[in-house]
Amino acid sequence: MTTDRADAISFPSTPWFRALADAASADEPRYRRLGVVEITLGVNVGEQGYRITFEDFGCTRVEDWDGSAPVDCSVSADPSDWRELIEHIQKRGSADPEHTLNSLVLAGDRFALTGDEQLGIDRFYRFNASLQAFFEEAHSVPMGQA
Amino acid sequence: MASPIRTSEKIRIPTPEEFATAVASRPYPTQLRKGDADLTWFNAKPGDGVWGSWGVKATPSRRGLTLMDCEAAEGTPVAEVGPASVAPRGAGSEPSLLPREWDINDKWDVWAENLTSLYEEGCSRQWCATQDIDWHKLEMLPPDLERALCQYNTFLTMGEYLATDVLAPWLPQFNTYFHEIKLFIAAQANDEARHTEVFRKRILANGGGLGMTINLGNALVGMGDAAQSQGLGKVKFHENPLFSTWNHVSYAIHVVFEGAILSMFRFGEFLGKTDVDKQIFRMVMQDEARHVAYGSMHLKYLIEHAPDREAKIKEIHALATQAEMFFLELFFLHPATVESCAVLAGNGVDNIGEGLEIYKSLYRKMRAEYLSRIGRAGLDRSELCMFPAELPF
Repeated sequence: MTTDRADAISFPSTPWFRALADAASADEPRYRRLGVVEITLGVNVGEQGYRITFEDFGCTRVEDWDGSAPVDCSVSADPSDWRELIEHIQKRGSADPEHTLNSLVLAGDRFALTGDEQLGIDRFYRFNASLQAFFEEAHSVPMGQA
Repeated sequence: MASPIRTSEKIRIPTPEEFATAVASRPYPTQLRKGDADLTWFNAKPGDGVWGSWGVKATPSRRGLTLMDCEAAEGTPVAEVGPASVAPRGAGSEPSLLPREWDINDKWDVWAENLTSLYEEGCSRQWCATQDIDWHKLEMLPPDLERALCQYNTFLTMGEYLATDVLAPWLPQFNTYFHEIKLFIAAQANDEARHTEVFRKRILANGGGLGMTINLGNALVGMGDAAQSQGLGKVKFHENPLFSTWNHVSYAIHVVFEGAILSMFRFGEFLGKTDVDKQIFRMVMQDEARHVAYGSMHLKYLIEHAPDREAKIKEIHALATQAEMFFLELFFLHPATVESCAVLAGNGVDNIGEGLEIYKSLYRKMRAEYLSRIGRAGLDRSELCMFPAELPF
């Protein structure tokens, strides 16, 4: 949830997504158990874009993204919808059934899954459990105001 | 094997003592007793035909030692045609090795650029239906939703059987030279077995039970009622054009069937009312997407490398027409599938109308993704696709 805690990191921001990556790195055995993951994911939070690279067993890079560097696919939603997703995760410790990544993009009314070609989009399905786990790291990364 | 002893009446199997005596008198044991080891394999010069290669040292990557690492160390490109031999790729052969003719010997017939990495991905992302699902968190559902989910999972169980039963018999037909396809399909058969297992466990874990079997299960022994009604007749499994060559199997199963099932698994995750159901569908979705990735990239390789490209495209179009008709009615228009999904999507049997609209929306996404996938591979069926743009209800 949005907070004024001293350790809160502004959302959306590259440091906030890097904090997810750090939290995932701290739980490396879990991601190793889920298996290798090979996807470059674009994340659009309103006008702000982030490019998140997953290699081997985890996230290896988080960077700002203006849409020009290639990604396999991207997930886009308004900031308020992302905040709602993250708040649910923070309240519950994990996404509730209405707020899993696949459910949100399949419903398609608020979150969109897009990509230049289907095989790139299919990577979202191939590595879905790892991506879901990654975003659920948000339970330990407080959001501050951007 | 024991040498039979002929008697006037019949062939007699020797006793263990007779067999031991016969074996002991053969040249090799006799030679060895004199201290004269054969050592053909040991003395052969690497690359002379008896021994393969020597000095290869594959280096593990960050993932561990992958087949890609081994291929890089070997440094030998995969040939276009496999030899008539049981030899593993790169191995030599004993001088008396008998030739072995395989049914599938051409690289274009099996290959995909991502084949090796997909196999490694499958191994790495294996999971266990017994331990990796948080069964203890399963929550009771209202009876109509539990019944709908049990029906849906019963349908999916049949789909998994179909995939395993179609794919596994092809394993002995692939030349061992192309070990990648043997390994990938063996792993896929294991994936399908695990899916059957997890759906069965889910059906039996929450107060429900196995539901109604539908005709999808008969796809192996014939074309099913749907196909018969289109004048395709009832044919035996190996005569079924959908399953008559590996190219056809891969298109029908990996691209059409599993592409549709992938959408169904995504839908199952979307429809899941509990964390456990979400978790199950997330895991099976990953496996299915990997199978579809092989099918899509194999289609691309096939179209780009088959000897007569135009003829192959024409053949695949004809096959696709049949596969689309076959699976549309067995799957997307079957009352048990339509209605179990609609009950789950509508959150109850009383709201089935709203659920049907959601189901139709899923169908449109499935169709769009299918056309996009094969289009990327080089097969444009936007004007030919037998999946109608909208479901007729």
